[in-house]
Amino acid sequence: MHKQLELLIMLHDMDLLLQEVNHEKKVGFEIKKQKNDIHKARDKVAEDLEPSLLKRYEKLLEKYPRAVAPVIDGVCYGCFVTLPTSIVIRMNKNEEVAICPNCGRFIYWFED
Amino acid sequence: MKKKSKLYERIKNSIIVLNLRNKSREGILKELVSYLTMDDKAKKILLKTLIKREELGSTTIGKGIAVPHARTLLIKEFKVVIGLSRNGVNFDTKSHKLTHLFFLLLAPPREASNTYLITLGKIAELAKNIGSDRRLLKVKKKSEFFEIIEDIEGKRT
Repeated sequence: MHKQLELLIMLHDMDLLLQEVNHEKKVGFEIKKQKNDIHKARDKVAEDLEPSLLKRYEKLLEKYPRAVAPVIDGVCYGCFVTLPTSIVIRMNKNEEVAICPNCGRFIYWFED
Repeated sequence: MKKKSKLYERIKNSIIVLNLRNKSREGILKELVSYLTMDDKAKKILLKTLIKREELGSTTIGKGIAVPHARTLLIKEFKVVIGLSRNGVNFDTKSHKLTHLFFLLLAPPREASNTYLITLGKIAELAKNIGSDRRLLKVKKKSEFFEIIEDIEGKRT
């Protein structure tokens, strides 16, 4: 898997965690660090991303709740549009950072 | 009032490992993740995410139970892997209490039924209700484990 795609996935998953921190606390999970520290940990992952990718990621977050979408059976699960065959038949799909031509989100391919 | 679904119903088909071998926090997480069907690279990323989560605050919830959990792009559907360590593990590095029972909870970013958050809450509830009941830590068979969960929940309704 492309190293930058790996970082995008980690950043995406940390952003999901941030969205649910309050719920976690409500059901009884202790998050000892302050929200500020969690943001710092998140930003540490972001630091390793290429600046152009990070810029795009942040821009996507202004538009959508999540900036990376899984692709399952050729469908982008961000916008639920079937991707063009030219993209679907590409080999080693997660070996590059790709974007959905319809919604512009970064895409992560599940192995079939 | 709407009848709440039980934890038993939500986890009865989960993978369960009765003898976790690892003795460290990272080792336990790695062992639990190893039971998932996904490629090795994805497992590695998931492990990093779970470790980061533990660093932000341990997912131990008392009574020897921990619930490492994450929403992640790397899985397609809600998954639970349950693991039991007979000797216990120092999972919360800031506490000296041993953790024996692990519920690894994973969910995709988007789920219509919100199973992930509800199940997290149900396990936290189980930890509160378990009292001094140590049966879960001594089970010999997988079916026995789920029967005990059902029993503990049954007593509370």
